Amino acid sequence: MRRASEKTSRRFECLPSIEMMVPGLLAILVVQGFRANGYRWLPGLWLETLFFLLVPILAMCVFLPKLTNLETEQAKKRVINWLCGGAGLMVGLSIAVQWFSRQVGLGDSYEIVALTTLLNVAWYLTVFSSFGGLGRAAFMLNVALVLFICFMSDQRSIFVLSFLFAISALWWLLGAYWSRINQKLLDGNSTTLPVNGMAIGGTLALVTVAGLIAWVLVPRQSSFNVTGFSFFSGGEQGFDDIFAQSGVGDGQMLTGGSNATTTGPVESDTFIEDDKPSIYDAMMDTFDGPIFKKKQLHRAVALEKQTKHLHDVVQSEMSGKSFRTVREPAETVDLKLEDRITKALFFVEGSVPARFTIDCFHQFDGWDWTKIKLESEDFVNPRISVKRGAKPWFVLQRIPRPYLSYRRAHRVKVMRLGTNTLPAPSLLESWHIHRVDDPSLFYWNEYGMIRMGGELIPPHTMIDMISRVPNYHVLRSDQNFQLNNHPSPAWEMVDRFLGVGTKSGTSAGKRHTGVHDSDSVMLQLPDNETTSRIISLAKSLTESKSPGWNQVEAIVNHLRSNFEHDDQRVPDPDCEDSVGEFLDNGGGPGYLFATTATQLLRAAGYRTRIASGFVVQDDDFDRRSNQSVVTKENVHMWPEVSLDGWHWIPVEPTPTYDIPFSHQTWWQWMKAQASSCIGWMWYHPLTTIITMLILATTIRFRRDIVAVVCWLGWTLAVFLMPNRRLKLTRQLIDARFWAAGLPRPKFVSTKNWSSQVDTAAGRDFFRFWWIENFSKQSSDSLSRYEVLTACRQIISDLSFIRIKAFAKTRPTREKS
Amino acid sequence: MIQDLNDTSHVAIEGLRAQLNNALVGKKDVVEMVIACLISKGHLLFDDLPGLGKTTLAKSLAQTIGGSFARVQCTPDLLPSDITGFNIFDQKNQSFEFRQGPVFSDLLLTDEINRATPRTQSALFEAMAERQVTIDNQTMTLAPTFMVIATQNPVESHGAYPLPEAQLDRFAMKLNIGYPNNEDEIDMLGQFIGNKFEQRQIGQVLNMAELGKIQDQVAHIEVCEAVRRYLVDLGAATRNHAMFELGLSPRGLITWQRVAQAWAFLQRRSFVVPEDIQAVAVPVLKLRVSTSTEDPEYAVREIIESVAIPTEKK
Repeated sequence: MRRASEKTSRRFECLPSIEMMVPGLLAILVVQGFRANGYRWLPGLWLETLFFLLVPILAMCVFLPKLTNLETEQAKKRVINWLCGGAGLMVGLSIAVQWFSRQVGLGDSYEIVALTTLLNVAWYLTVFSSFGGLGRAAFMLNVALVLFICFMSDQRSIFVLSFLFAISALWWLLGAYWSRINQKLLDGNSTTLPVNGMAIGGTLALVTVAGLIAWVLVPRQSSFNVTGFSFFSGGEQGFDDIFAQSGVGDGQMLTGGSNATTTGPVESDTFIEDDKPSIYDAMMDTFDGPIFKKKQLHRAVALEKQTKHLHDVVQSEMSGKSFRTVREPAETVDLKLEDRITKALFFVEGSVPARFTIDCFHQFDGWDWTKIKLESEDFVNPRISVKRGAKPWFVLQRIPRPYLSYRRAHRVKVMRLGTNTLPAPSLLESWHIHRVDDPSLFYWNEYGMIRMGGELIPPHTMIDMISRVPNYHVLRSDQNFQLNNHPSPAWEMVDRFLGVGTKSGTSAGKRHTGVHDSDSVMLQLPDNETTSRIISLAKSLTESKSPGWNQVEAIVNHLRSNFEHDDQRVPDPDCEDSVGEFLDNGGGPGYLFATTATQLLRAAGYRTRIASGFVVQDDDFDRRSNQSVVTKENVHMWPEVSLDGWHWIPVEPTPTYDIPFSHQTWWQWMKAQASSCIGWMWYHPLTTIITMLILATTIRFRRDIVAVVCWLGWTLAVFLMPNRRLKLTRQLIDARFWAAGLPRPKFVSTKNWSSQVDTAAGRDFFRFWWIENFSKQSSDSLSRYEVLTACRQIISDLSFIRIKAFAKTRPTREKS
Repeated sequence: MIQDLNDTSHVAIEGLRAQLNNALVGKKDVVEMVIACLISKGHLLFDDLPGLGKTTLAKSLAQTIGGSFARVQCTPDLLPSDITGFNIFDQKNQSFEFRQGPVFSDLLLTDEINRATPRTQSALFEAMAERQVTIDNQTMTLAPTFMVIATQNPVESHGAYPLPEAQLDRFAMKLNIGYPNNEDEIDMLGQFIGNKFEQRQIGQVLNMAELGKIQDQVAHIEVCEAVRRYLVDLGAATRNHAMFELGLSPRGLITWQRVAQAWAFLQRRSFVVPEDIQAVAVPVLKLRVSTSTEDPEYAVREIIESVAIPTEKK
């Protein structure tokens, strides 16, 4: 009997300690998590990880009987040699697996191979860490690996895992330290160690919390980690100002001018070195120049004439009346933030994504977008009024609609914008300029844009603007919009009977008068071959959808998901129609996305115009000045749809741009999340099934998992004070009974409850337990070692498996 | 380390246990309670049928502790003076001479106590509670180890005077011996082949002084605050329980604590743990359960289950 228990305990000594396993497992997670970023087939990666996780464990299981029978020192040394050889085998195995995975089209780069090989060896050593110095070697390897990954990675999850690794590694170190001291104390001195478990736990918890707070709140930049040690170089809010601590060169002088909250020009070369670009300049720079229309020429013409034609186009574009969709491929410019600040057209404070409309076009002939003067009674622009108060606000009297329930504010500071059109966010409602309250200063131009009197908005003008935000959910659920756009079939029949002709016919008839009704303009399609394609495409995209916003979204999403944004894929200069080219090419620059979307939407019967202006996205945000910088690179074109004839709602067909900002209620958000979640699950069946299985297993074995986790916690708390240790042990026993489905009733003591499994179990433990809790004797007088032994004894006597087995037989026993 | 109790006391207790178990076969738990009652200076009430060994046990107990033993068979015509003793006029000396009654013994067995009139019962109760008797304005002290073992017969209730609930407080516990199991009865029968029933030899294992010392030790067993609080909570629970006509009195609580101390002593511990309180709860509380209750043990269990057992000190 004694021999058997001795054997068990020796076997136990061969197994790796929990303090060793936890850092090892965390190191695996860190490295594989790093590797998973961009891995081609994730299940393959995790299979491989599982394989290498299990190989050393299986080896341990197989060789355990042999390892426990080591008697002589020589045998032990020999085993260590064999184990080192095993590490070599692990290297070979790693390379072999890598070779195999390359054969099936996976595989990694050489440095990752080296990394995983080291990781596998580290894990192998971790499993055999109870032999000689292998534990320390494994620990060092793990630390090195995690440290390396920390330097290489910027993923949050990796940092979290590394942080946990650091804690567990610290735990191991402490454990190693205390166990050494314990061994020394065993030689006779039985006094307790001067360590308070609470103090250590508290310190660790504090460090954890502080670390997490620092990690969440402090922006990750090395200069911020040494806050208080950097040079002070100004700033507006004293020492706490981030500018004050971010080194020399970006002080108040430079940033003052570009900050939207400051006014007044700053005498600096950066602001006077070039002219203010107009929207045409911005477009020219971003989309490059328009192309001369060769195909229209059926005979050779003199170069002079060609140049004149191009000159006309350029003139037309410069005056802002047209936009050619067949252009040279644009050169991509990647400006640094500093350069962007000096080249800023305007600055924006407020939430992004936001789009600021400068101009819009209505008519398309296959090549050019042109503006059409609108009849004032056909498309009523909201009246501009002034609300005078402490601050004068210009207000647009917008018709309230249920889908415009939410507002947001922006502050724009115009820098070098060469236009007198208000850079207005979509669905602008009101705006304010300091001390400006003359309503005649602003007016609607004939193309539906708000202009400011004068040639251009003065630089450094600061405009506060409030705009409405569409709620897509309301739009989707409301299906009455379409009614405005389609005349009823009865009216169409009357029209035909009277010989008035179709809608396009009437608009064509009206067009030559110079002014146009909004419907005919906003639903206009060019008269070419592509139009039939567009109409059939629009029909196929929308026929399964209910009319209204759902159809609009279907068209936009089709473009977003099936076409590629590529500024270089410009239409062939010989082409007849840029939209047809775009459809053939499967993609193109942003303005062709907008053009195609507009055509499709018009074909589906929705009044659409194409807007040009600036899109501000997350990338444009300058954290230091807390505002977004808008340069020529932000120039963009997008369609705007009017479902009800009152408001232009922007849509974004270009996939690389964020969809326009929208608002949704919590309930709508939850519904959207749920449906997207279900959608995701539909497209990832394997992952879903595996996750479900894991979840089901977790739920099924939740009690067992709790028992194991409690046991882990108990194991890790090796250096608690005896009284804490006793308490933790009792709690673990209670937890085990609970997990086994036999929770201890409150009126029964742990001893009486556990005696039903084994009357003799934990006699020593309960003796200590009683002394600690019910006698005057201080627990300090208890021998730490004896308490530890008693705790270990009862935990091994009342094993979870034993309690579970007892719980299973209990009902039958009770019956009998 | 844990045990600084006098080992000689435990040797004596061990002997006591052995002797009593020899006298009352197969009733180890009853014997244990009887010993606990003895060393906690409590009085004992047996509620049992005749012939189950109550008298045997009491007699054996008296023999083992080497004390004087007296027995009173209660009947309705039993007078208080038959128990306490009386003054008699001595013709020779021309003076009153006190004749001691059976209470002036170390162990008094009062059989069928519920047959005595309330007047007689109350005379006995004074002796039990105060360990003294007053006759003709003369107060006489009884032996410090004086213990009453009373029996009552639950079957023949006709012509009986049931003990008032308030008076029951004076007993420390109420025990049922019950029938032994078949195996023990077979053994018992074997023991009496060739022996007369009265001839069983019970040896003395301790004397009165030693018993007094043990009782003193028991009184000093430590009861920490958590355990005392537990005891008070249990007491409060009895006061709100339907099956208890009268809740546990403070005197009842003191008795319970003392019996628990004795129980801890028997477990060779120098302090009381909550498990001790529970272990002696049934005999202690059974006294207080209303007589109408079918299953008094069930009522006690309900009380125990209504209060959470203390786990940690704090």
